[in-house]
Amino acid sequence: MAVLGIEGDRSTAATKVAAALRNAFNPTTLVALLLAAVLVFLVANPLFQLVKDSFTNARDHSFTFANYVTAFGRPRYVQALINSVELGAAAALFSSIIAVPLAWGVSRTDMPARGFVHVMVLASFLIPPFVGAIGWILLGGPNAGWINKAWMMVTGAPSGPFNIFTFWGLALVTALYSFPLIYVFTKSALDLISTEMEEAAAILGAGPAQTTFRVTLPLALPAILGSVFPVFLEVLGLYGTPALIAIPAGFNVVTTQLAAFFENPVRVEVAAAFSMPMVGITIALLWVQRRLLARKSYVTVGGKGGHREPMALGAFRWVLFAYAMAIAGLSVFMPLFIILQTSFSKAWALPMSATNFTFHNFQQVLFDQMTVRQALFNTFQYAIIAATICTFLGFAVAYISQRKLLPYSHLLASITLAPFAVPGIVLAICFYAAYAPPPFALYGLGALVVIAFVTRFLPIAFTNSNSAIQGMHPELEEAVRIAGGNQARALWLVVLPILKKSLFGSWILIFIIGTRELSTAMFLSGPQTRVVSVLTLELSEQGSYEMLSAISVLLLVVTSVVTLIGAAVLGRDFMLRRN
Amino acid sequence: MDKLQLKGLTKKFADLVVVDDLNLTLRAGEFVSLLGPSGCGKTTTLRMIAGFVTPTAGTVEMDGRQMSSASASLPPEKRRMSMIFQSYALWPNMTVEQNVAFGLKMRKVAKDEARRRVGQILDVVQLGHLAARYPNELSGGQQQRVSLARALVVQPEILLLDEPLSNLDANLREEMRSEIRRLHNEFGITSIYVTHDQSEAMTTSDRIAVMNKGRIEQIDDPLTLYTRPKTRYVAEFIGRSNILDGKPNGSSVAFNGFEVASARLGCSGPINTREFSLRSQNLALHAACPAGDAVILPGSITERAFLGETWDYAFRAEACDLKLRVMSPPVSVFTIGQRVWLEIDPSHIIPIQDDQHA
Ligand SMILES: Nc1ncnc2c1ncn2[C@@H]1O[C@H](COP(=O)(O)OP(=O)(O)OP(=O)(O)O)[C@@H](O)[C@H]1O
Ligand SMILES: [Mg+2]
Repeated sequence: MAVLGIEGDRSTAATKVAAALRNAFNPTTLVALLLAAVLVFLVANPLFQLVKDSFTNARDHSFTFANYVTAFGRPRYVQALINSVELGAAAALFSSIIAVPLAWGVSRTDMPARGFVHVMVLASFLIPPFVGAIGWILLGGPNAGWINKAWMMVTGAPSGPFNIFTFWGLALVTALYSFPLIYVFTKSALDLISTEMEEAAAILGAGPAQTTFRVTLPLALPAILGSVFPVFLEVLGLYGTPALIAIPAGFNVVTTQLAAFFENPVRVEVAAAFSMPMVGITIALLWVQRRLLARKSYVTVGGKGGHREPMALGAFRWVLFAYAMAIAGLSVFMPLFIILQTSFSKAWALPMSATNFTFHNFQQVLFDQMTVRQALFNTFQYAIIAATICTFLGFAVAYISQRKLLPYSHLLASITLAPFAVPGIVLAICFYAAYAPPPFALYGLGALVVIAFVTRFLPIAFTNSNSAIQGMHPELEEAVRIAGGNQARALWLVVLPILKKSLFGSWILIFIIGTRELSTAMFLSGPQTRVVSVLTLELSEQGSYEMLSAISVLLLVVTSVVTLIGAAVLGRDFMLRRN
Repeated sequence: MDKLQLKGLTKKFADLVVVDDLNLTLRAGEFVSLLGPSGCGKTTTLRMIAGFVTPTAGTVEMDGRQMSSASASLPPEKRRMSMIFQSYALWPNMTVEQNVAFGLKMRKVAKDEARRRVGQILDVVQLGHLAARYPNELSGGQQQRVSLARALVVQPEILLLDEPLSNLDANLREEMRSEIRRLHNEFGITSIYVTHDQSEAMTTSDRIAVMNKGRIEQIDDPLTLYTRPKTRYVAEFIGRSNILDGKPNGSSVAFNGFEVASARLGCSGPINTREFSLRSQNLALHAACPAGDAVILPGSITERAFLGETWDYAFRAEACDLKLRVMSPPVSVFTIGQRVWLEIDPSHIIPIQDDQHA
């Protein structure tokens, strides 16, 4: 026994050392450190550099407030900020006016062709905002725009009434491509309200209108608000549409003003200082939204009663349908038609005719113009790489934090979500500040664009994975463990196979928004690393709308094909699902 | 006085007949249960009364006035009824007080009056102190009380309840069903209560309508329903019954293994059915042959299960292959295989009609 005891002691000591060693270098710790390092590199450092740069004198790197003085010293700079807030508010309002009736119509009424209306919303979600804006420039330009030409032809008036190059024109075009988010949130909230909620009102004496305004819509209100805020923030950080419309119209918004600070000479510090209010507003609004919605998460109370019957609208169903079709016309049919037509035209302002018809634009885009080919290639390459890295990283962080595999894993999750509070264009400034200068000197390399994309889309990948993992019972993995498999095996054999569809869905979503991402790419892509969205703006400045339309058509075709593949594998609404 | 009349009420969804020529009359202040298995059309019937579903044929009349027919239907909001939903359907965006006040607001009751009545009814359901809470800050039982208050405060012509207790756990369910009965006694509102739980129906109702496949098999007060089931379906659905085959044979009926004079059976008038119901509770087992003029059958125990409040025995007669289920009190213990004597009181043998839909 004694001998055994001594041996036991020795082995205990040896095990302790081994355990200590293993603790220091065990795979989980390594993964943790690696992940933390990656997140610091992708998120924490760029954000820190932004703040730091805004207080740094560019020449001697000393501390200064001068950047803020420059950034807010001129009335027109401040005016840009005010314009942005007004634009955000107007676009959010328009979006709600568009989205809420549509969502209600599709979700709860007997409006005709509800499936089609739903698909039209999906279609306007798939049209990149800058493509829509180009369509609207062709439609609503003051003289040559097709709407105005049609007006002049019909009425014989010397000029048309419509001018897209105005604040309200900009707000409308912006709203036409940001309303789908509100639609999705509102519709899924309405879908969850059991008909019994409405019937309870009806039996107590409320007519259809009273029921809708006193019960149904108030129940969806938290969801509506929960999406109006993000739309406002999205518009605040939107660059493409304002660059195409506001600049010719002669006014600036924050994003176009930021771009101006990036023109020669590049004044990153001033841009950094100027972007601070945007970050501030974003954080403040996210906080307000949380406070507002905290007590009002209307998880429907009670069980069964799941049956739902659409509300019979009578003749009003046709009014609602006409409204939905008008929206589809404005956001999808008209712009797409004009873009398609222009892409096959020699000169866009000339009427459609055999003499004006050509394939030249597509030939130019696909074969002749090296810059365009390069940009198309870059776009898809960056989108694929960014989507892949994002999906992987987002899953890793979500899995680790859900299963609490590491200490402080909730912190990892928070860092991963942080870019959500940073508008894309500000993120670009962050990355420029952090990685353009030495020692990293990434400017001009595709890698810079890719890592910025990864950071920008990381919150999406994370939330997607997170909710997918939440929906998976831990017992599934515990069953593997109890049967003798380790965590890695459980991950490989159970978790990934179960989640592969949701991961694929979030990959596609990121790929698609990656192909159209403009504001993040703006300041980061050099001559060799240009992406299509950036190129689009340049072509628009040159007025080459024919080639621009051809590019837009290509982009839309690829997006649609990828979406159709996704829809075939994952179901129609895989992208418009609310997380 | 008749409050509500359903005449030939029928509902088809496509080809599926869900409610089939249903006739039912409720007196004012009466509490009637619709009892039946899942899918037998209870909810559909209730929703036709409420006006959410239009009948395919037949009518719903209240106070002699036609509410629903295949061609015209008064919308629910004009019927002055109330309904308790299975999910309670409390509006989560309104406080308890606002929920309860909603119907009064719709009826344009003056504010002061409305506040007074809301306060009163909340006191009745013992929720006065929770008036400012939101529904999801309440327990299931409290939510149920709110939905009761909301339905009662408007003093509806008719109260419709669709399995209001099915989302509650067992203890709370018992408490709430006496609460429902208490409120009914207090307000006397004509009520229709849908359930598939017979004890719920028994304890709350003046009369129970047993439904099967869209029809009413029998409607009677709980005691009659239990002691005098009219059909095999009702006999088997309510409590435990043995179904006996019997041959009417002049002035007596011949059963498998014994024969009884018709006059001693639990019915009056001529017997023209071949099936009889005999409740397991009405049978007694004895270790020795008892005296008396009841029917005595020797036999043995083939199975047994102790259910806590009763023993559930399977008995097989010696002389024939008659098998019966017997419920005995916990103190009468027999072992499997033991020889026993079964005592049958013939007045508990009830002739039943053949299953209408067999
Ligand atoms: N809107 C509808 N369309 C088609 N069939 C329906 C519809 N509503 C009900 N049914 C069918 O009618 C039958 C009766 O339904 P009902 O809801 O009335 O049953 P129930 O007795 O209330 O059952 P449960 O106890 O499960 O609530 C079921 O078979 C159901 O599938
Ligand atoms: Mg039901």
